[in-house]
Amino acid sequence: MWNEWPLVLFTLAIQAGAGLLLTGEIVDVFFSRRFGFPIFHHFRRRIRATVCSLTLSGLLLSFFHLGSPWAAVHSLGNLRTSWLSREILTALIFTAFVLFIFLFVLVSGAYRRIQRLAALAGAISGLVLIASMSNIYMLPAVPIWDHFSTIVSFFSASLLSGILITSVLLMFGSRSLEDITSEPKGPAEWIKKAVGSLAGGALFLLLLETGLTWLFVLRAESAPGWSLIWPGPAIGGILLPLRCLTALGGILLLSALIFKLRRRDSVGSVSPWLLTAAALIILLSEIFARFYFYALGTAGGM
Amino acid sequence: MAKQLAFYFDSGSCTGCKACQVACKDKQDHGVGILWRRVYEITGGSWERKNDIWESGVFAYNLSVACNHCQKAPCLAACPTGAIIKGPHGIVEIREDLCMGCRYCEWACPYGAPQYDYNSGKMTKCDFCRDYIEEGRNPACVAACPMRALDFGELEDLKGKYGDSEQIFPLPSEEMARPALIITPHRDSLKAKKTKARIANREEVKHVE
Repeated sequence: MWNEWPLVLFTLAIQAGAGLLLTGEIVDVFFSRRFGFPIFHHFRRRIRATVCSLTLSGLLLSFFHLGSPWAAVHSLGNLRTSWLSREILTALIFTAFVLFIFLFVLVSGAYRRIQRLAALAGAISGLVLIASMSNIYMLPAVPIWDHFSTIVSFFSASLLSGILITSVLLMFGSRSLEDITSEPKGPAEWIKKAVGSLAGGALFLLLLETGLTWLFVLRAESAPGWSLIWPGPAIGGILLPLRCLTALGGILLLSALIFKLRRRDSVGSVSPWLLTAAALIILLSEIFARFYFYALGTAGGM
Repeated sequence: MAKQLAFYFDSGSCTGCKACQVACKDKQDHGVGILWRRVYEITGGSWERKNDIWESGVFAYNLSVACNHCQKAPCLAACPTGAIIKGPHGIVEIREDLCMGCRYCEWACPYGAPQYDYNSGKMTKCDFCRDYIEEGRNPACVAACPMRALDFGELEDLKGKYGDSEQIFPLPSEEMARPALIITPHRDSLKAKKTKARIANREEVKHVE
């Protein structure tokens, strides 16, 4: 079970990259429309650099999962029927967009229209990538994976990580904006509202995901060939309690953050470390959930 | 119609001696962890009280399974590199030079046939002892069975000889892969469908990491 770690980290990193590109660009569009394109440049640079790092490290990690990485040059050889082959193709397309978008970090606010179009295409390719990735698990041979909840949980994990990273970057960057402008309805005030809404979205997605984990458990319990192996210690009986405890920790921290944001005047007066702690504990929760997903899926059947 | 080799297994005759499993391992010189042919030990049932009489509903039977060289092989469809092919005589084979060891075929196969070799970093699976067949000999597992519970041949010929296949626990629905496998079921396999049967030797046949 534990030797699935490259697969766990690869899926989480790529999903976070795709989710961050989508949420980061959406926030960017709203922010730039209100306050102008150049003022968001620092955030944009951080968001795109993070998307780039997550995507490239995800791709690198995927090689650790392979027994013969050099043979991966043949991995586009069965696009007609293999979802894994399609996932690799969409991952390459997504990476190409991510690198292209990242290049604009160097040229600041120039070529805005091209930047926007490339970011839109990149975000769409990211969604296609998540769809391909989740379809890999639609295997009749593994009935507990072969369910719409797998697709929903992959998309929600992607959005959840994207939202959390965007919020952390916004909160850390908001202090520098307060130095630029102290207008009451200025960017810092807008960021406070944006972080509050994003944290609310993250809370919803985390609750949804925890619910899906329990749906997964119930499905495993009723699937022939799986029912009697749960929750055996050999397949990580500790993972489910860990997943639930960390998710609960994340829910509490996010709730505390939303409460504080509602009470304070400025986002700068709320410590960004509260959100960072929430993001880290939720990341840990996602890692446990993904290990559990693989452990239980590969333990049953023949 | 293209030729399709198939296995036949008589669950009623199998004593679970595992000579087939050992013969396969010996012929292929496989180390610990790789079992191209596996003998599943199925158990289930319990004692039941009917009026004032206790009756035994306990049952056990064996099921010897290798790759079924499916006509609609899910491993072949799933393999991203195209390393899995349907070769001569309908044998599903792995081209080692193309395999990248992603193990996706292992997930896709409902019979657990593709097995990962940690030494080579490639997938391996039953090749129907193609070399033996080309020499006119029986596959190692078939030749080793002391009860003659295993047989092989053309799928249509086997159907004519033994009748159509029957589904027994824990085999998945035939529709999933259309396996080239004919089974004569053990008399207790019907009970397995009605009660909660289980694979008693899971740790032996399924290498869970």
